[in-house]
Amino acid sequence: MKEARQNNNQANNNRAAYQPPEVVRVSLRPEEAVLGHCKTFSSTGPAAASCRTFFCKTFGS
Amino acid sequence: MPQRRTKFATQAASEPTRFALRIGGFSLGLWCEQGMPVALDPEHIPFLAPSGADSPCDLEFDVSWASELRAPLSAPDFASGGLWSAHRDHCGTRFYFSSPAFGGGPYKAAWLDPSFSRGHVVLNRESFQSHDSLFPLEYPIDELVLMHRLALGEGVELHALGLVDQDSCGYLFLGHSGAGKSTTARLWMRQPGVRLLSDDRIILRHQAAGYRMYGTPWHGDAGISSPASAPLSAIFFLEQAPTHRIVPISQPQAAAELFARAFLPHYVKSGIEFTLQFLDQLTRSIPCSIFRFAPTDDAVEAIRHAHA
Repeated sequence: MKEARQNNNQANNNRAAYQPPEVVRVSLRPEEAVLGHCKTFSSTGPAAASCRTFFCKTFGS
Repeated sequence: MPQRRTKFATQAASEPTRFALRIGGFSLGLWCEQGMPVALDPEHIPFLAPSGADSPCDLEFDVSWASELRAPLSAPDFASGGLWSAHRDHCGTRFYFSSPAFGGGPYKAAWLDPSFSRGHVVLNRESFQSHDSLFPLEYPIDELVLMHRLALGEGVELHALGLVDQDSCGYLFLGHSGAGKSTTARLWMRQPGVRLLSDDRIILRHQAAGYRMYGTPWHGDAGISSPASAPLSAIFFLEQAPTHRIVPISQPQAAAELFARAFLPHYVKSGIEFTLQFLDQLTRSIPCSIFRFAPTDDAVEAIRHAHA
């Protein structure tokens, strides 16, 4: 009985400390998250993906 | 001006052109309609599969001309606001690509089955009549198709620089545009024994041996794209600062920051769910930190010291 209580106490001590939930804001850039935008307007990469259909290097994402 | 394309060796006009690429651990095979002036963009040449083009690939495409191409009248499931829109039904996903440069109608389309293993690319002949060569999987089809395939449970594409240090440690540096991925790439390029995979897009997959990062053809300002791959050892979120400092980040926040720098089909619920799970597991397995850095050579040593 005593041994079981000791094991229980030890398990409680090994538990990670409670961290309350929190809301964290992260920066999402839609013009980068969605492929196929024009780099000229959004100033985002990739720098030289295959834009040769339009004879330019302006597509990004 | 962009670099010139490399045309395939002349083939008999009566035969279809066959070639295969290998990107992110996937093989992509193309059968192109006979007589089509198929060429590879310079970025894709290192990704040409050295052999096995005759074997079935993970993703197989038929490519053909259409004399007329029209988008469906129904509203798309997703309109990117850029070049492409997506229509989904039980048969799969149909992408339509249009640009003001070609008028209102689509200049090409790609129809994919639900497993993203078979597809049909259709090119509007009128749109390409002034082109002496074309790459059927031209951006953004190539990246779009792989992004959707990864979201079916196979990995994730990240806005990141990936590199392998001389001691074989694989580092991933994440950042939105302007965060310093290409700058960081240039710092590491000067180091002997360092291999860089891409300075803008990395595909990450989980395998029996752990997480593996793959270079892609889609590079940033430093122009780095490699078909190589390597195990992942550590993840850093880039922030520019006057001096170097490595700052711890909590596991949930690391997962959220990764999600904000991931390319995935945001309109596909199952894809979102898989990616969230994938990033949750990833951030529990791989150490993640914020790397505040100045663009000086000792930024490299700061990373090596932190990981030692």
